[in-house]
Amino acid sequence: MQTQEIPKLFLEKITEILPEKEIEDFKKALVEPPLKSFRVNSLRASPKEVKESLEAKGFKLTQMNWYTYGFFVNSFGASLGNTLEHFLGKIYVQDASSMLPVIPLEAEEDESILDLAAAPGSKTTQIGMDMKNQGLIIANEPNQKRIQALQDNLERLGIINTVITRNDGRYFRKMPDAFDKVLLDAPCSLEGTMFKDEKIKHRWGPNFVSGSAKLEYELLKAAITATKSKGTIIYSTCTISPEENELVVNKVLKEFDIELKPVEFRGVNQSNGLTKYKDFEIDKQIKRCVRIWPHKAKIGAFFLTKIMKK
Amino acid sequence: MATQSEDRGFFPDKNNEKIEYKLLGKKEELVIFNYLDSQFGIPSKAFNGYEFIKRGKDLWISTKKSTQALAFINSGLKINTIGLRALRNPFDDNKKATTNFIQIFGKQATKNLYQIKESDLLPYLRGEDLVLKENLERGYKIIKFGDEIVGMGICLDNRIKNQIPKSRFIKNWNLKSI
Repeated sequence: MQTQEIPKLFLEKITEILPEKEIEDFKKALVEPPLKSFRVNSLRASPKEVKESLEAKGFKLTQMNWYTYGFFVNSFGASLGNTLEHFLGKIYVQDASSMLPVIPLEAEEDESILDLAAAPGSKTTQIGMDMKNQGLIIANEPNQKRIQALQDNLERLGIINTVITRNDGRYFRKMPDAFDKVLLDAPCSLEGTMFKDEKIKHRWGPNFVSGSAKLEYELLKAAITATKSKGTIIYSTCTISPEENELVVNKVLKEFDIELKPVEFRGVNQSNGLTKYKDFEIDKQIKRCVRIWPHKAKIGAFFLTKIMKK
Repeated sequence: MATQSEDRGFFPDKNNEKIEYKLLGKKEELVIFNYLDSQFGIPSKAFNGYEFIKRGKDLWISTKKSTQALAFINSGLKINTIGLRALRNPFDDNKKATTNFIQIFGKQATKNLYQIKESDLLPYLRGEDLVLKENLERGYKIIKFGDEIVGMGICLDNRIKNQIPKSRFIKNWNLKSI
């Protein structure tokens, strides 16, 4: 896709939230294919071992300076999906920015964790390895067609501590105070990735964004309700519109006894959440949200926030 | 999560057909432990902290904590699977450990191991059977490549029949070496 094909309405929104001098760089970054990356599954191998074995096969790798288990693939003609390391579940091909939300979740071995929108399982398997395959993850995916991919990935990476469920995510309001931690990597309007993909780029529109925002708000309410007192909720999206990010978090801040916690990814060029957008009154805590802008961080666009339930 | 769990009951499959599940009791667990020990030399202590659940024709393994989710079935939690499929037909003569299960627990195996040659690895990962020149006892073998557990195979006369799930076959191997 060319930068001139990015929808005008979308760009108008961006001009409200980014300085003018950054717009051209942002547009280029938005349509560029991302650098290929993968995560090492520490249940099966160490980063050192995987690096050595893949480099011996000709892959050129750079370890992420902000995440021990993450690697960028700089060049090689072959597909990572056809390597022995992939077959053995030692690696998971995953976008770099998609590795971010599990890091501040700080999953521990004996916890009960809900992954509210789990398929295809990149983050569920990442949580599973952080928990050393102990405790409990409920990996929820309402779309039956996507469950098979989730199950295949859990099996390949050897994740045992997971129960796959197929509820509408809003169901979890009926399980109050049940989980130590909840990850809601919400189904979103995909603005961070969709303009790179010819097949889905035409889906974007204001109604798609507003519809996604409504669902995200409902799901985040369910996520907070299902979390125990003093528990953690990570809310994330791979989209850019404030309607699906800061404004969703702003609404729940008014309705629940919660606070936002600061998150720092050392080595990632991260930005604060927006505290000014149109005429909305935005809580000052929203500054603690994290925005990843693709033209600054050189990874996919992302938004996340860490919420503590009081 | 609530601390109670349900030892047996039903949860529906994707077609909404109710399938019975049951947490294994000690006697049934012993049958499984004896099989894994006698067939592969995997000691029962390898399964400390895990729970076996029989569901339909298959046996699944999960953490003990995972079974707490069963208590929520009656309040509408739609469980698809718990843990990882470990054995098929666990109480029949034709019981079979799955590749995914063996890739985890096969590292502790001491018996019925078969070292695959580098030249045979790619065809095996593509789904082909192994043709044997030597005589091997019939039955299930854990296929190893060096220290790596590749998966399960079943030795029948002069070949090892491939047991890797089709969804995991490697289709386009284009690396010079493995």
